[in-house]
Amino acid sequence: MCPPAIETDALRKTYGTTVALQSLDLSIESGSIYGFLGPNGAGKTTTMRLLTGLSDPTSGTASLSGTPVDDRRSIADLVGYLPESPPLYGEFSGREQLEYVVGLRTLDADRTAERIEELLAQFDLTEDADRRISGYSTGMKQKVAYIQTILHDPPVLLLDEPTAGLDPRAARQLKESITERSEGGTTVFLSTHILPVVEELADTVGVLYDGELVAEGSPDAVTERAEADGDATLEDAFLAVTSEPSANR
Amino acid sequence: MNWREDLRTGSTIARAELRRSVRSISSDRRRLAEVAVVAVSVCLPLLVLVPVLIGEGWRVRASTALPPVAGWVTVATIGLLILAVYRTVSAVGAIDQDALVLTTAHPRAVVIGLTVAEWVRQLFTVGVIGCVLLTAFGVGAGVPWLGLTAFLVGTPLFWWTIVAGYVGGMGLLVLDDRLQFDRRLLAVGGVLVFLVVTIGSQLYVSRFTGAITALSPEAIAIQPLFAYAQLAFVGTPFADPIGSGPLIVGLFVIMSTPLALSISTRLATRHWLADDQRTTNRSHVTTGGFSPPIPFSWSPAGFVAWGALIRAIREPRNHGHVFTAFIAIAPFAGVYTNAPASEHGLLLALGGVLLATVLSGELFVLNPIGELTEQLPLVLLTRLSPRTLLRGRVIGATTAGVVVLTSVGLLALSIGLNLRSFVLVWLVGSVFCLAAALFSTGLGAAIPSSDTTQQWGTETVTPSIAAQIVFLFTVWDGATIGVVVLWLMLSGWLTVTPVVVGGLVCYSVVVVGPALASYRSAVRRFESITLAAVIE
Repeated sequence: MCPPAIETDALRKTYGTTVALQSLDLSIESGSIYGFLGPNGAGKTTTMRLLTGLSDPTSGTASLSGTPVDDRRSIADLVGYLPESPPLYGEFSGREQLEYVVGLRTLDADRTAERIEELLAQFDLTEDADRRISGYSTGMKQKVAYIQTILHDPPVLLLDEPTAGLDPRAARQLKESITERSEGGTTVFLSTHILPVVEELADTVGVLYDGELVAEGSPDAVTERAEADGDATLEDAFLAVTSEPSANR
Repeated sequence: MNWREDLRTGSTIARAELRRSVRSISSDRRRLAEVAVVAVSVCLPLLVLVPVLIGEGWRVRASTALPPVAGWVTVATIGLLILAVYRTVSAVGAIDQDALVLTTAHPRAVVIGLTVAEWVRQLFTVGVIGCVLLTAFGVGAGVPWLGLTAFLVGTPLFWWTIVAGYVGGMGLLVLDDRLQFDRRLLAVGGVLVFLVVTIGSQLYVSRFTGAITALSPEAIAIQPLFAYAQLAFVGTPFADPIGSGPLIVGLFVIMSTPLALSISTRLATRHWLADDQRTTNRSHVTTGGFSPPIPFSWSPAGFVAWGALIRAIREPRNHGHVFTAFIAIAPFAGVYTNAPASEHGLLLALGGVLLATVLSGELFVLNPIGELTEQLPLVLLTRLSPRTLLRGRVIGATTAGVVVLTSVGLLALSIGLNLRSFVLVWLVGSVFCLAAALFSTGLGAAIPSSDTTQQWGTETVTPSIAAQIVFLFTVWDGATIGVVVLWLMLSGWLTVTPVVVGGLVCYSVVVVGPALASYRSAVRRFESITLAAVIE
């Protein structure tokens, strides 16, 4: 039996006396899209940093496809992480940035070159690929950052606000790419404030509030749990479970 | 162990870092100009040193014996080591885009990449300067290839200083992460330690001039290091028989490199994955709102000044560039020690004038537009006029200077300065502080810098290097002249005559005139500024 793509056991993170993440238990199956919701400061980015090994937990464990996240060398191949602020170098052109990531990941440059061209074309970046990133728009930067995240075909994708700053066309391209990858077996952990995106893409939704997972299930199930009214949306459910969390546990 | 993979990734990172360094300069006209200013300020002393070294080489040519330089080889190596520690703490110890780099490459590969890039940078800056100086000496001594051979021999030593310095610097950064002290206490503590080391060393040398020979570099010479450095002279009349020294040094460099890289990797991983102190210190709670005290509450400019002061006190590392004020003041300690005890009070107060003047000119005002880049959309859409904003910064900078001036003055009073001199020094010092702050606004507004860089573990916007160099050449030199004249007058060595009065009037015009003109030009620039102009 395959281990869950993402698994955490009593994962906890504190900063001094502030608890950023209480005991978080997650078990996310391969190939699913998990929508990770929560108000600002709920602990979403902290969770993502813990899942990538960029931050050490105070207690508890986390693993990706059965590999503990503190095994840095193995985790690098398993995960693609797109943080909220695109990690790009303004001095490079889009193509150079992607080739740099190929070098960082020690991928085969010749084999990847074709893939880079395909992805640049898929996201309408071919014409601008040789321009410096410092001159890119927010959306173009976000698209390059997404491409570098998926370049090595990771089995687990952690995306923090991936559609932020994208125009409707680019957002559509990105959502299609996420769905396509998920159908191919990639597990996507998607953190966003744009609830319709989650509603459209996610198989499972988890709502984090004050460092605690206060609701989890399919979007329909979470919506139903929060509101008996048949017209309720995920937004209504989100507002309900994050206003009086204790009542929903 | 995956050493091969890490070396490959490390070389990718090093090449990328170097390419970024070159592009960040070559694609920006302002930064190109800055590099030109730095190059000129480095080349000017070389114009003097090169002929001197050619002459020195010529002098030793006949004797076929080198002057005693073993100690200088040791001093140079220690100097490079300290430089590497400083560079690690201030810049190279941080990763740009850590979320990308640390999720794609192993920390050891990152350490290799960053240290190799730094090694190349140092070779092509410090190394080339050393090469020029040694070539000059070699030309005089009849071995014109000396610079090249020294460069080749010195390259492994450079590498060792970089990796060992990286260990030291990372150790300091980890210590900084581990200590749960308030950042302000650490910053103040760091400045105090720096003051004790720089001023203390000056005092020591001055006080014990009789024992100065004991402090000569030859006293600390490491002979195997000198023997290694002598490899540069192989094939020349100055060559000594090759002993075991070069072998010892060579083996030491080879053996210690993997160890240093291993320690660096452990320390770096700990530092890079440490919780951000700014996130950690969520317990910092400020109650009572923003309520400036009198007299700051009297005017909008006072509001601006108080805001600048509060921010500087809460995050002093954002003003790390004022460190130059302390470096500039250090040699003054030697003057203090050599003077008779009866003069100490006055000299201390005058030292305070210099320190306060440089501080006033560097704090808040040396990059008034660049520092505001992020806030410009807010600032430009308020009712505050550019004049008020700049005046507020000038008031804040002058206040900081006057506080230092007053504190040092009171200390001077306690060791014998008379009240009349205290008042006079304080008045002159206050004018200097104001003039320096006014002058800096124009200088800083003319060369704004909005680039954010990782320095001292924090991302900060610093004034352009060109502005800092011009500031030190003008304000520091100008203030020094004024302080010397004031000292001569208060000591009774300069009496008031029509010539002296005329000189003082001229000096005042030279101080006040450019300061006011500079301030006006800053206001004009601020009035015409747009977001696009700053960001470009």
